Amino acid sequence: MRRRSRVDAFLEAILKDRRPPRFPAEPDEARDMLTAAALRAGRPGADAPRPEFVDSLERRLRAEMQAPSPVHPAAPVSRRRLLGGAAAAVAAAVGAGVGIDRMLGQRGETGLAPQGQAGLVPATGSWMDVAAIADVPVGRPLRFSAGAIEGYLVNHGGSFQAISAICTHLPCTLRHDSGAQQLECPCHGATFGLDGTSVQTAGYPYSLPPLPTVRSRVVDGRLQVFSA
Amino acid sequence: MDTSPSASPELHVVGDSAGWEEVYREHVGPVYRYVYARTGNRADAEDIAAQVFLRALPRLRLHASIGEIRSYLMTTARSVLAEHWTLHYGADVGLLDEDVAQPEPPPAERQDADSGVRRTARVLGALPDHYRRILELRFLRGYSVRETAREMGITVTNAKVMQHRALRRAAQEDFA
Repeated sequence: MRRRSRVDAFLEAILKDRRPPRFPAEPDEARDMLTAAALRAGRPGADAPRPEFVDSLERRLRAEMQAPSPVHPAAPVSRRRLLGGAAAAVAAAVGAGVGIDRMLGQRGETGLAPQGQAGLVPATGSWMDVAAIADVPVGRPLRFSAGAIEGYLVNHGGSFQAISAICTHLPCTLRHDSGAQQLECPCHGATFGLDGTSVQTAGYPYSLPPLPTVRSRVVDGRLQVFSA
Repeated sequence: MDTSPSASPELHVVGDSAGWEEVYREHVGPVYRYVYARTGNRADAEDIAAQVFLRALPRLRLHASIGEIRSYLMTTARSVLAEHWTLHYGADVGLLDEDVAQPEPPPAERQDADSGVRRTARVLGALPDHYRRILELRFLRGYSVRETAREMGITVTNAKVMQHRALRRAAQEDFA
């Protein structure tokens, strides 16, 4: 009965075109809710945006386009520190084979390492807290800066992975392309999948080594990475 | 991303102040419709549609074709919707894949053809009469449970049970 009533509350809300209550739904409930949403959209004209909304969003976009701001205004990191720290660490780990480590099978740690993907493990590091799990939804990797390591935390459907944010070609910091769900290098256009593997594109038809993984773990709902 | 082989007209430069406004006006309707059909209410649909444009517009490339822009916006919309359903309902994002997750963007006409009206007709058309009737009264015409029961000549309790079963059956058709 409790299950039924929460779905009913969702349905009653959308029947009034109001924001419905949130709750953890079972898969069959979520299907019912999505189908109900689709049915509501089936009323001719019901799914057209309000002109007021269209105008106000346009104003917001204009402000946004005139003053672009970074998606994650992280703590300021100097260029020198970036190049001297993270890039050198990546170069050392990848080039000399120092600190290379397989990620899979390490108890309590997260991460899926594609074959051949190096682990970036500082020789003298410690676990650093970077974010709450809730800060890293699927499809929205979180850029982090933890000591010597610049990286992205990625949620692969509930399994978390930390990867380096530094291109394996030359040490430029990768950007997340939320549309294509890839990491792109602003310098030469190299592209990586969210698992860190190199993706060849028309603009950059070369294959690069995958982005090194960074050791990560979940403690009390928070994500930590091993960095120096 | 590969450029589409079809000779779709180039859209104007984004970042040029005239360009993005044109892109926005052209696509806000289809994006909103797509999002509304996956939220069912105005408040969530407006929030999510706003996020889609705020996220995607600054990243749109110069000289993208209309098809590429539509595809990029729809992919972003799917991604924001997936976050919404995961965050608020813990739902499997695969549920949103019933029609979008195609590697190549469908042409604009096909996106529009998958509007709520078409999808609703397909789902309702597959149901037994009494199930179709109760869903039409409730979700398309906005009758209350009581009004629906009166209209169908059944008790309120029966109407509630029938609505539940009809919706479950419709969801099975929808996600078949």
